[in-house]
Amino acid sequence: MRSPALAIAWEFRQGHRFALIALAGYALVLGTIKLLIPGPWEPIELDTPNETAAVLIGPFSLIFMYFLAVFSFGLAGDLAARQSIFPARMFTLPVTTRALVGWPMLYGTAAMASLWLTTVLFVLLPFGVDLPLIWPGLLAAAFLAWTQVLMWMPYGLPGLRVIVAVLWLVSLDAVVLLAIHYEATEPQMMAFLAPQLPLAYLAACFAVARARRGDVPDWRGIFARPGQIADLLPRRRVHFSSPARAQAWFEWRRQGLRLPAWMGLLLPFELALLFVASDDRPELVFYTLLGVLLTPSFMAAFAAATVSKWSPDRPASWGVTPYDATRPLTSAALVAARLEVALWSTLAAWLLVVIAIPFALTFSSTWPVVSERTIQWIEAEGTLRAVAIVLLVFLGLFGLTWRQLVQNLYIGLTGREWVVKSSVLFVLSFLVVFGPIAGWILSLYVMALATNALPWIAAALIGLKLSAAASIATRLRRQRLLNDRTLVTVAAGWLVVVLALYGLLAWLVTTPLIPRYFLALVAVLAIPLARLSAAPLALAGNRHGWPSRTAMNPGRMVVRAVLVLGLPVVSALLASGSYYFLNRTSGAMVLSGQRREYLLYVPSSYNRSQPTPLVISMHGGGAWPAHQRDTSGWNRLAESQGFIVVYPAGSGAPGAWSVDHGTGLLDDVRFISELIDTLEAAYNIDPARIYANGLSNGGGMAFVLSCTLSDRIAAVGMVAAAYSLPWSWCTDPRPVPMIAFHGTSDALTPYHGGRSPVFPASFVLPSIPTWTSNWARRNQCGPNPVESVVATDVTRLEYTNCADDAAVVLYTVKGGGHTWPGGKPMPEGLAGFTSNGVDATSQMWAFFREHRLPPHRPH
Amino acid sequence: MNESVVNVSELTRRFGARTALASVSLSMSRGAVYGLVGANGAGKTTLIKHVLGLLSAESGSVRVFGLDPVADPVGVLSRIGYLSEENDIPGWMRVDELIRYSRAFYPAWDDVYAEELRQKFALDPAAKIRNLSKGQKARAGLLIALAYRPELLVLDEPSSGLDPIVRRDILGAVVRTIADEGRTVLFSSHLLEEVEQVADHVTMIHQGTIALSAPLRGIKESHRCLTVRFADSRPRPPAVAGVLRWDGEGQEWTAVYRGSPADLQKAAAGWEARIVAERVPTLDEIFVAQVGMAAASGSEA
Repeated sequence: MRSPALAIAWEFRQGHRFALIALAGYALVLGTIKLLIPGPWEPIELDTPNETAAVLIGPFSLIFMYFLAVFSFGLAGDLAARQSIFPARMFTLPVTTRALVGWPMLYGTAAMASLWLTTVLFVLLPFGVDLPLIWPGLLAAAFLAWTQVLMWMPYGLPGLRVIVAVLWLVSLDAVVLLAIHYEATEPQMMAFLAPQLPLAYLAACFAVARARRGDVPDWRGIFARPGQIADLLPRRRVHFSSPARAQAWFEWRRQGLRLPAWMGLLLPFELALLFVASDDRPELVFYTLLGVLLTPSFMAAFAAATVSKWSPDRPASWGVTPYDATRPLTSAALVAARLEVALWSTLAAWLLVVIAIPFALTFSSTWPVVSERTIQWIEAEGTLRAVAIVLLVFLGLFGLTWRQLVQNLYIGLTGREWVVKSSVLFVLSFLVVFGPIAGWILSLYVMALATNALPWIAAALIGLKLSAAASIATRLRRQRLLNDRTLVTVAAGWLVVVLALYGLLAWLVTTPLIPRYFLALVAVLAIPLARLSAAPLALAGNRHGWPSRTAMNPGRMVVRAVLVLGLPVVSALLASGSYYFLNRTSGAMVLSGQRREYLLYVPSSYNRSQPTPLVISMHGGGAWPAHQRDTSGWNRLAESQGFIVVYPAGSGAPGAWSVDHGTGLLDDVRFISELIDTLEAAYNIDPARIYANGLSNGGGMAFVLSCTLSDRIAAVGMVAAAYSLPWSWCTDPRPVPMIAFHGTSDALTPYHGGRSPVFPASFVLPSIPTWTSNWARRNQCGPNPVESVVATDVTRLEYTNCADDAAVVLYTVKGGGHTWPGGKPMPEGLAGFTSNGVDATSQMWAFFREHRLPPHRPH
Repeated sequence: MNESVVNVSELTRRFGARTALASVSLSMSRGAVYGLVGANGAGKTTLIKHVLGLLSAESGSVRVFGLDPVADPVGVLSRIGYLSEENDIPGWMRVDELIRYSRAFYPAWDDVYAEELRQKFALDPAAKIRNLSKGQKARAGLLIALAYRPELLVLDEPSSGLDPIVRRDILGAVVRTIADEGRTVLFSSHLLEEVEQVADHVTMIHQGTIALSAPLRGIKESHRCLTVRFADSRPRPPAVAGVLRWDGEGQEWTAVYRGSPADLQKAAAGWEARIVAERVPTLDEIFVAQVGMAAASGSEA
């Protein structure tokens, strides 16, 4: 290492190699996930970024920010200080200022440019996102160079650096956004950005030269006078009544004002939006109010990162300082002071919100908009309920704010840097990777499926919470941090709050979709217990020195760390992998630029020389082919009866059939039609024995096919069909045999019609008996249907003497839900009861077998 | 009443693979000034932290006023005055706020005495701690450690980096007064002349073990610094029991010696050498000799 340039490069590499390796590994994991599971993932859309883009933008921004921090020495210095952040130890090196500035700037800009190039070449291009190659990289480099300048500049006032840096970088950003908006060309952008680098270099030379000769301006005198005025205010001389009061005062002065101060800074900007909202855009008023109400808990999460620190003056210190540790107070009392002050902070922040909102509403003359709707809402809900809801929401938000401030106190209180940093890393990676992946996997319907598992998951979480609480309580007791009486009081208090919340929720939540026990689970999980009680334990460990870790085998530590950090990654990979492999489709076609997929099952008895029937089974809204296969069990029947089944996928993710007046319907119909063509070309399909059936939204689609492809489809079957088009929409007069199954306790598509929670509020679904009789009229059936009891809970209604023998059959399942009778039960919490009184699949097949396409129906 | 204020027995503490304290035992009785000396990293601060309950004993036990400082932080800490090496009083507090805050914790707080100290130390009540000079900060720390007349005053490297005037404040006036009033002082330092001035009892700690712990007078009495002139030039002086360290070259060698000077005189006669000078060594010299011996025996083992 003979040159200063190499020495500086070594310093950057040495200090950050593990972080860089971690970032590279992280990018690699993302890449692998993407390569392994191309199927259910959506393409990247940067214009209004979707989840895929978020996964990409996340790591890119993370590395970008990391580079900014590393190359401007921002990790080591105090951002708010007046002095330059450039490490003072480097000033005494026998190197010119130009070299001192030049090398870090060169390395930084090169790193930024290569970050962009790597992203474009290895991620964006393979994903088919076409972005310019040069100027964004140049922008990143210029961004870094100017950040370095602003970081290395000495300032006249503390905190000025942060303000100047934010303003300058935002304005640079704005120029670029304008450029994109006005579609500046690559050469134009390069002409604008390229000179930035030498300019930044000159500015940095000037800044570092000043810092090196100790030339730090001092403008603090300007504020000396107001400070003196503050000193004239009367000061409290009364003695504290107890050590606890003194400690609460201490904590309040140390960090209590942070959250209210942040709220005070943010509120004017947020509420200013009310003045923009005019009469024609009342929704903006409500969005603004919603935003304002959510801000305290959001900001509290940020404030919490500092609440757990001991000394705001010393940014790098996590351990408790001797000064704090030698307070003659128990660890529990020290934690209690923090909890109390967090409560006061929350109160102050909400006081600001509660005072500011009416003011802003009055002065922006948006009162009428709000009061009018509020009165409407109160009238609709009833005064008592409305008051209770408002109270619950307010208490909930208030409690959430406090909870955000204190729930992770224990992490910071451990005083272990690795605990704090890995928890931050965990949260970040969760937000960046696991959030979106979970978003895909648990997309709406999967969530609904999981509701079967949801009580179990919640129960497992509760088990975890309560056992953690129990183990913490034992330790608290053993270490004599809390006495038995306090422990019992805390537990009793917690129980009372949980019961109160449950009672309130049970009274307020009336929808049958959410069972009572689930509310109880929510209440138990919502009220903090384990993490809060862990705080004194963490503080005690920090205060009295954690036991030495020699006892712990380093190998075991590594295994633990890998488990803790790797388990989520592995489980996400496994989950997405199994999701893909279990639910992949077997074929696809491209229709008007859209990729349409299907899952095919050909029985082993299939014989090319024998015309074979085809059953098309369509999934419900939000589901997918494999789900329909598992729910209906058509494959088993196809194998034993020797017919082919195909499960086409609806469009979009989660998949759905466009059973409405839009153009998507034509695409869906054409897809089915071409699917039949494709299968007829590949297999010996009996054109007179092609049947369509579906669940829910897929049942609605079967109805659509009976009206659009009646020349190809011999009969249709519906289970819990969602008819989102009116009967009158069907103009096809040809009789099509139909068999339907519907539960009387179907909450999503009610048996007797009406509103449904999964349709827009104004939409009214048809009554199933009426719909069936309409169909009987279409099929010109005799007037008197035959009713028979099939099972204790199932009746069968058959319209006979129909034209072309096109019978109309309705199976009514008493107490049946939005489920496939005799099929795989769907989550009972959401879909309701699955009856085994009748097997819809085999009944359907028996019905289909009796109906061939009449010779006169084809064109 | 000669009960011990601090009783440390067989205390061991490891940090990772490093042993900071290896079965240290120490007993401090009421009314004396204990000087804890040792090189940087010898374990002085670790021992003090155990006394304050800022570290829990891994093995062995620590009792202060007969109480476990980890299990009963309130009972122990409210009777101890402590000035830390870092002197980390939060910078945002004003001197008067610091006094008001601190007095809430100590029932024995003496307002008159606090005011007296404040005036003596020339502390401006409206001044913010962060704007005080290092010496003034130390004085502020000292004020809140003294104002309730604690039974045990613990000073961890109180004078490191301070000017002689502050040091004199800390050492002379305070330490002596407290010892005279029948209270106890434990203070650590690596400035041995300071310890020599005020300590009644000196504990030398070296690489986590106690090299020497005895009353200062006893130490001084039992050690001699003797200069020996040999008849001829020697590359190495002879080994003799009781000599902790030899320094010198050629004919003249100086020994730090523990034991009766007569024994050494007898030995010198045997080597055809004579003792040309004899004096009481400084604590510094004894420390260097002790530590050197400990290091040598350590390397032999």
